[in-house]
Amino acid sequence: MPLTRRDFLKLSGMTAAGTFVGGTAFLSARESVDKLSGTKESTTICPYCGVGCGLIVATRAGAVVNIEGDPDHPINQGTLCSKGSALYQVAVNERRLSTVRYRKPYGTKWEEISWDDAIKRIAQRVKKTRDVTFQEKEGAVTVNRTPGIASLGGAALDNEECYALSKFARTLGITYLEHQARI
Amino acid sequence: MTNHWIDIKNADVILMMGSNAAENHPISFRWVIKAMEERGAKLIVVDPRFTRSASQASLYAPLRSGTDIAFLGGMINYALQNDRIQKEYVAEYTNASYLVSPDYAFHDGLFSEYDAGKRGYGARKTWAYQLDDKKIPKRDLSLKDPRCVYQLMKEHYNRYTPEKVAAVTGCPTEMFLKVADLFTSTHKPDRVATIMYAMGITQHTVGTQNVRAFSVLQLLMGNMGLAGGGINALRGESNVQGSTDHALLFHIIPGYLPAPNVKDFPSFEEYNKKTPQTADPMSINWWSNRPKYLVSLLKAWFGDAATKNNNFCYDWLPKFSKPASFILLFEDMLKGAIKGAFYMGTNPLVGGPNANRIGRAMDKLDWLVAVDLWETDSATFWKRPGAKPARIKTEVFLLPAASSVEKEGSISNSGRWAQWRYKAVNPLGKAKTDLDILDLVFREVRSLYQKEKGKFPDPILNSTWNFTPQGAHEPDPHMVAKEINGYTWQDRKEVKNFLDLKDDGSTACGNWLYSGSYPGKNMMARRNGADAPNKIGMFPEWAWCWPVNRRIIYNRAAVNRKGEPWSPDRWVVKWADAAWKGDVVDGGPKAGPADKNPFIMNPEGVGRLFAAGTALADGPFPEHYEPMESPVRNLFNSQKVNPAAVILDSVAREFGDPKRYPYVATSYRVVEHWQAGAMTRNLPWLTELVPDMFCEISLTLAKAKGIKNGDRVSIFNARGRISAYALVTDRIQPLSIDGKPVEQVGMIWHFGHGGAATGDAANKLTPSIGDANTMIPEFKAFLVNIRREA
Amino acid sequence: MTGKAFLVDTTKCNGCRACQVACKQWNNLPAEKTSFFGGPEYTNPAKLSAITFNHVKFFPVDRKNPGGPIWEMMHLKCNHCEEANCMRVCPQSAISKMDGWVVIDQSKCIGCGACESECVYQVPHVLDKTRQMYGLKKSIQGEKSYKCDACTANRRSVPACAANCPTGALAYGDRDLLLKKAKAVMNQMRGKYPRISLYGETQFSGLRVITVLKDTPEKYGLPLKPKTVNVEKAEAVRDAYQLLSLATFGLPSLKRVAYRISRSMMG
Repeated sequence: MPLTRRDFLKLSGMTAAGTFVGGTAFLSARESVDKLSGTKESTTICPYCGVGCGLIVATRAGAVVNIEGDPDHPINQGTLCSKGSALYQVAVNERRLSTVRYRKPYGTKWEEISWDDAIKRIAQRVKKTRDVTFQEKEGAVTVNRTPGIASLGGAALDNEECYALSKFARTLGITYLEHQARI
Repeated sequence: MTNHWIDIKNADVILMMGSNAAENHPISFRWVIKAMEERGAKLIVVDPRFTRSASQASLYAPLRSGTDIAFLGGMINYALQNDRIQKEYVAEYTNASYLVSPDYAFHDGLFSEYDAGKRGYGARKTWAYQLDDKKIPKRDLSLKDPRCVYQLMKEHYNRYTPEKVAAVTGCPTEMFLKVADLFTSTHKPDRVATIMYAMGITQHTVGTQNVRAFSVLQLLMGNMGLAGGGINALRGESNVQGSTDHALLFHIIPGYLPAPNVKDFPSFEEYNKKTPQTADPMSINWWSNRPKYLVSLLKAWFGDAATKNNNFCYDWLPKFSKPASFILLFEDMLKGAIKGAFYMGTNPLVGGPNANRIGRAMDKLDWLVAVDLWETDSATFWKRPGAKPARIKTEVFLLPAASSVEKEGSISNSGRWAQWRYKAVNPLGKAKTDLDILDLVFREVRSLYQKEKGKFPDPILNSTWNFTPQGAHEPDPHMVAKEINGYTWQDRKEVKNFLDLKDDGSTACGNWLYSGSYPGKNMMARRNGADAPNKIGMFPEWAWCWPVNRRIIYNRAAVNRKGEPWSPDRWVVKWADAAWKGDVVDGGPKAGPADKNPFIMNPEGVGRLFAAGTALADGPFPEHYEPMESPVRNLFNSQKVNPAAVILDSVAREFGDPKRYPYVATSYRVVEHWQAGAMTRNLPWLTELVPDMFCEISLTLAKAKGIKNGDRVSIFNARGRISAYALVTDRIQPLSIDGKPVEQVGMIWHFGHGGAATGDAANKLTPSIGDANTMIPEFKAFLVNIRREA
Repeated sequence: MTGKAFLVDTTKCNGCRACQVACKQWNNLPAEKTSFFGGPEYTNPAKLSAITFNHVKFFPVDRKNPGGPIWEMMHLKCNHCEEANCMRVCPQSAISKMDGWVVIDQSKCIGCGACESECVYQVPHVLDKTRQMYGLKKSIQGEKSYKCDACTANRRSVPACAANCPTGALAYGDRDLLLKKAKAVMNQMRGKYPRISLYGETQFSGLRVITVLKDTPEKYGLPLKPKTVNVEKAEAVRDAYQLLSLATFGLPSLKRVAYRISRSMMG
């Protein structure tokens, strides 16, 4: 994707750094580093509020090294609020979940299980609950619904995921379908 | 938003009410400040608290939470009494001139047809227009007929005097008048005001009518459709616009089509029979296209199985018979009717009303699948304070989800811009994208139905569900985006936009509103930073916005009947040489400004000052009612609470008595945290700034209760008790209501028991009651008591 | 005085604290442990520190005028004084100018706290013990002094805080132009804030952070005519310290005592 103004900024940064070395004011032996050297950059949109600010994610060797405002983005023009500025800590955070956790009925702690195991068990629960609670008719009206299952959430999902969730839920017969727009 | 973020810069007056945009939509202030700096725009902030937004205001007006209609009704009255309305616009583009049924009436807070036993309004036949013999509404363009909307409205609001407004809201009369004067200065065609609102407006038992009051004002001022105008709902989550568009709500299916239900749409025929109709040749009545959108959606979901002969499998869509909105869903969960639940990046134990009750409801689940980036409060509901895990039967699957920089796809901002995000890195550890997770579960369920017997497997077995390209192992968001855009069924070619959709099964389209977002090319990924020739900041080739890349909706109202812009220096569209220029004009480019009415989504084609028909549950004009919990009587009528609001028997005894709980409480957010907190309470840089649950109280309440800044306090009512730090601040002051001081307790609702920074959830105190139309809970006005903790 | 500078226009600041976080993000600085709030209103942490180079201080709202309450927020960071006391008093000459910006060379810093003691704005701070950087397998060495270096070490064309500010309250550019802009803002906003003032034009022969304040500098605890450390006296203190420091065994607490004694001896 084109990063016109951004490229310019990076370049001017380099030039400025050049003058440090040659300038008489430069007395320090301090190291001056370019945090973004050798990084790959891609654009993203902030996951917090509904303004839709653009950000640039810089990565090196498959790891995020910096996230900041996208100067080319017409809404935020490179700026961010405190939450958007902290997005790096969502990408790089020891508290993020990285494995599947399972809590058995009446359990007091999490156990780790595999994805295969989790998906199989979830599908079994879905089928069983659907089959047990499914209603085909209400009086003369065909209703084909699964009142035993609810689905909540989705405002943080991508459009494609929201659409897939809407299709997923309705195809299974779910009518208890709600999300953050209601609260 | 009818308009969009950058467009705020085009306003002369900005009314921020029920919104604290500086904190909750901070970058909007880039454009607010630009309007102030470059246009000399004035910012009005109306809020119970002096907020960070208020710190930048030209005028700050305090008001008691839950009294917005009193305030706005006062402004409507001010405009009508002082003749500060945009007359040509009002006459041509609103229903001011329409004659209303002679049986319509309003008396002491009740509109005609009220049924006290049912707490509601029935068929609302008296809320209709008088029709001529061609079934077109009768009009009196002189606005003098006593049955015309204009006259009825004038009569309705003449009770909303500045003195009454002050007595109810607590806003001093002088300040109210300053606000009314400044705002209504935009009745001049070349002055424009925008309104920015958020949950401070919607989270009330009168939430919908609060927004309606904005609509009435903006129509009277002639501010709809113009650059720098409109009614702008500031959405609090990055894709709550998109998730609503894609209908993750019980009452709609994608593209705001009504969801099938037993009462209104028992069959395909009934569904189409209720397609909105008009006899008025001036009306575009866009919803007349609804059957095309429904059939294309069914085709997208059920493919070859959906044929004309089986009504395109309409009956495969589930039909609800009673509302299943958030509050009611949890009531049914508490009754044990719901056995299993999916939580897709949501945290209702912190974010839902009456959180202790939500916890008890969750205890009844057999299974819960929580998909999230974090171990949320809701996923650990079985570990919440006071719960005994050994007694909770629920089986919990907590699935690790990819973050926004670890996947590809689009999200829609408040301005309806769908913007594409790229994957920067792989999902952390074993995390997967939500799309991948949904795909895995669906395919596994389908394979179970293929292998074993089960109830009505047809929709599952015949679903077109296939988002995985040949040879790939994971679903591809581009394939989903193309299905959303729509394609011809025969040759699988993406359609250009929704004008190509048909009701005969020859087209499939997942969401007509997004048709045009991926017509073979991903329009949402566009990054052309050039503005359009009208230079109002539309940036039409940056990303894509619905509908059909129209940046300002209702833009036909931006010009007069000759097609000349009301405000030429910031024109949106104009009609010249028999063609439209500027933004993508509403309702199609062929009809000129004199041929068609601008409000294309209403069957009458004009803006509704009076909400005719059955559109609303609680009245054609906004009327002030007190919140469900309020320390004072209603000074406008003898109805206390919205007479059409649903009061559940199951929680009736939990509502607070002002004698025991005398303080008006409200809940809100701060810039440093987000929603239920999982996305911020786990981030050290943000918890450094706001590490703890706190409430805000006035100096006077603090003194009366012996509370000092930084003390720990208990806040309590019949629903619960929470502990918090007290921030004693002069930004909150007692309000003088009907001559008596009323104290307020404000609190943030970001905290819960889970995550790195923990604290009590404010929502343990909020009531299980919602708006009469939407059932959005009344988070913003309830009663509490407070005391210093020993 | 020419070159680059920051302009803090507090009339446009609404305290979102994006500057505070952007600085931590760009410099991978760890968060501080806080509780409730460290100062008036939402102030957190209480002040600048060795790991907090940008700070927004909130003041209690002034509601004397019911028509227009005033709530002030002030952005603080190193002012990068033209004649910087910290630079004069550093016994190791660890503090120098880089394109006009006052920077500390931590490889020379011995953590004596001279800069910390002499800065009237309480900007530099000696880090008590080594801290892990956020997201990097690197640490910030303890017993060294740290402060804002205007993003000259982690270099970038516009410092992170200024590039990030949503409302334009924090700008970066040529000092001459920013001064002009500041004066224009004052003229524009005087109606709303009658005591509006400018800070940083003359102090210490000019600061590289120009601040437009809604009220007089005194209200914010900013000295109108702060004293520059006398060069000769500073040299004498440094000599005395060199001597005394021989008896500090490299212990930072003793170094700080030694600096204070040297200062009082030459005082």
